[in-house]
Amino acid sequence: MNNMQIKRKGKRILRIVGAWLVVMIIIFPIYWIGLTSIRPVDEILTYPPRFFPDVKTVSLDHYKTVLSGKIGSSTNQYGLPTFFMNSVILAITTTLITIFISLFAAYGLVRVSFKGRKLMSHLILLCYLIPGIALMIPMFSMAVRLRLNNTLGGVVLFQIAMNLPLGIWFTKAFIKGIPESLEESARLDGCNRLQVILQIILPLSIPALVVVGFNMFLASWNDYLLPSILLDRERLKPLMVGLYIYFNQNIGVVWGEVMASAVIAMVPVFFVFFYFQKYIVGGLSMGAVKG
Amino acid sequence: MKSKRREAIFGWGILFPAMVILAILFIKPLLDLLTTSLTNQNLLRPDRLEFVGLGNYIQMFKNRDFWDSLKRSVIFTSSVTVCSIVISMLVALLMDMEFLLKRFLFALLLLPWVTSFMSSAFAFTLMYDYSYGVFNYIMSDVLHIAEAQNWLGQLNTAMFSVIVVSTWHFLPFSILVLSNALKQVPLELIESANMDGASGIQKFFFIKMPLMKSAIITLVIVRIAAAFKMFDSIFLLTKGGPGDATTTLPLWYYQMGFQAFRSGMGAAIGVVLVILVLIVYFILIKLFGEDAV
Repeated sequence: MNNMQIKRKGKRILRIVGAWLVVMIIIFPIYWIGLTSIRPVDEILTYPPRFFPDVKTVSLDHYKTVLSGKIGSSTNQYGLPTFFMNSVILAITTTLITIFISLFAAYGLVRVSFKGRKLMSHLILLCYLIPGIALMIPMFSMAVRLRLNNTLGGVVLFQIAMNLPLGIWFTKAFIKGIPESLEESARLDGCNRLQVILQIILPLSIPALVVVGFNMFLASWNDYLLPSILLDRERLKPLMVGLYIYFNQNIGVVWGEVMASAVIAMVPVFFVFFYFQKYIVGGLSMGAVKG
Repeated sequence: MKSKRREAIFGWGILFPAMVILAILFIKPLLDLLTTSLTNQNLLRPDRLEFVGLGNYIQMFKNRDFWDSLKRSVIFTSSVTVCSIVISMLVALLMDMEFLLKRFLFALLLLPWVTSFMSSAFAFTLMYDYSYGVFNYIMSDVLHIAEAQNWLGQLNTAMFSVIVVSTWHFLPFSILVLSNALKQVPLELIESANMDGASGIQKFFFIKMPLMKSAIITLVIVRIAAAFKMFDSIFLLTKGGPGDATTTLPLWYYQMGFQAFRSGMGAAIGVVLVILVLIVYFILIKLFGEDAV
């Protein structure tokens, strides 16, 4: 019996070690980005690769270069700080607007009875299923016609349109689970519909709205294609578009700077993710949200 | 009667912002896509706009590039879907127990999910590098399984390399979903199977798998759709190259519309892309109906 227990314990330890090992392998590329960003060039371009930092040569030089707005030999007028601010503006605006519109629309679809409600529901589901990438050509033409190209507002509008179906769908599923009796008692107390939404439904839906909001933030912050098509003025580019150009021009030359800017681009997302982690992980188990 | 009307007005009012945005910025482009696909629209020559009927479609179906891109899309989508779900299942099974710092480990594990395709393209391009890359070091010098390769730059390895990156992006989320599904398996069932002397593999295939069916099916559907429309990751790694080794349908669509400026032809590809995605959803939902939703 004792032998068996030892065997069990050994198996358990082996599995824990295995789990750590697997996770380390999976996050290795992220570690590699971080490591490359703090080591001098001659350590980046060396073979065999060195897997650990050399304490003596670790420096934040690449970060200093990048934050001063320069990358490599590029003498562009606009650099990382500009791109960063553009990304912040885009992601925050898109997220907030999408959350509010989703909340109202979802409430309307679940709790208000009117003709055409079912049709609207189906329409939103259909929009959710249509791949946004296929709409890039007409969206570009439309943006040019409406003079929305080369404006951050244009990117915000199209990003909202592409993410709204998912936002409404997810919020809708959540609101369905809120007991109607709560609402009725508030209405007996004299609240009107709008007050019900803002004072009862909104606070109760926060877990769902955080998940929706995080997905919108992520989709907007990490989006490459749409802003790359709509914006060609350097001054307006968000991080993903701005940085790619440097990466593409100077490939093999400025790895340190490229990775430092990648870290700076990842930090806000990681920060938001860890801050809301409990909600996000919990919300995801409610259903498969993001593709 | 009056309250019913008020209710309807309120309903439409509250849906109005969403409807306006979707109608103008989503449905209208969708209709534009259809009409553009019937013309020879060229962004460089807007003066020569003509209606060509189904000409673009006929041309496209005769074009070998279309069938090649479609084939690549199918290879990419099926590989990414199968690999990401199989690996995720193994990891989820491995981690299906309580241990110290598990939550912390899980948080780390989720990082690739929130990493942008841009950052992963940077990381993997460096790791795939012919002279200094970690991949060549591990494959040829440590494990001795393969000669040094120019992973992203060779016709025979490029597709494999982009599949690895997308699979990597898809892992965390799949592991999370499957882990949650595993937690739902009642302990009594496992215990009684233990009493009967079932092996680990038997327990997996006869008890856990059937109970996880709906989670797995949902995941397969979500994954197929996401992989089929994947653009950013492939584009940032290879631009569809070398040659057209990684040009899947979405990349071909982009090249036609934004590099060759043949937006009429591009729109036709876009229509086919939409139809294919809808067909896939339709088949999967018909096949697995109640489990999927």
